Amino acid sequence: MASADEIFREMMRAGEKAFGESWDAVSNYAPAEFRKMAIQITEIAQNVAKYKLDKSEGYSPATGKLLMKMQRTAAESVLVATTQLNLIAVQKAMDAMVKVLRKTFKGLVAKIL
Amino acid sequence: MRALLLAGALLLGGCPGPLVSPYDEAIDKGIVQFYDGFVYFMRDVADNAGKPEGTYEANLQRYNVLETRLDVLILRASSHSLGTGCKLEAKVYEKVSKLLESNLPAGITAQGDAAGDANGCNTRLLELVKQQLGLIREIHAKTDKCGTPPLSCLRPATVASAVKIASQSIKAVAVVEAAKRN
Repeated sequence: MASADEIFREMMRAGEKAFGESWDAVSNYAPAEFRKMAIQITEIAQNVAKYKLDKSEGYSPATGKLLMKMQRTAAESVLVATTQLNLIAVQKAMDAMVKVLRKTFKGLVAKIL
Repeated sequence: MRALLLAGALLLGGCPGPLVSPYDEAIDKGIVQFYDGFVYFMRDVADNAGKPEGTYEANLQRYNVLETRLDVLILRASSHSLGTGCKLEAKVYEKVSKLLESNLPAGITAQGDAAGDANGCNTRLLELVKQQLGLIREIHAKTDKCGTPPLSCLRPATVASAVKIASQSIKAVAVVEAAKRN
């Protein structure tokens, strides 16, 4: 049977690998979405300014206000999704560790449970 | 070794359940179908801005169809939830705000229900898409006007902004389901 240290290292490797892959998704996703938000907020301000100069261009301040409300909602979506992506990463890491444990202890763990 | 076995037993049997709701193909495919319908509708309504067929009244039924599609997905997602809402971890907010420093949009705070469950977040993500659609509906019905005499409409500039913003909320649903699938 493998030593406790070996099993521990194998579990950690499996967890780290699974978590690492998922964390990439989180760290790529959130900053990109917040960058988009910054651009979109600027666009809203520019369109309201255009409308003030020429009513046939851009959109009214009232529309701009509702679009800003939409942007705040989108920010909440990104934060909730980021939370979920983190939890998925943790879940995958746990699943990978459990897989190692099941493989290592086979019937022994089944007896305990 | 005994400690490791105990830790293993706890890991295998001691957890209160999965941290996230399981992958749902119906939500994964449903949100893509919703996006297709939504973008097509937005482009069409922008092309008709200032014409009778571009008014809110002429497009009321199309809003209802899109909203019903979302209601079906929300109902499906809520079947996994305890109905206690979505818990948004303070740590996530902290991490994101640190990353963005002063670029974080105003009005964004750590939100969520302290008693919420992780499964409730799927429902919340879909509800946020529905809120976006509701705000577009409000713009169409009340604030955007085109032509003479002024008719209710969605201006091309409004559509451009609204599609980009709503896409973020729609993408949030899709990204989470894709992560569960992979």
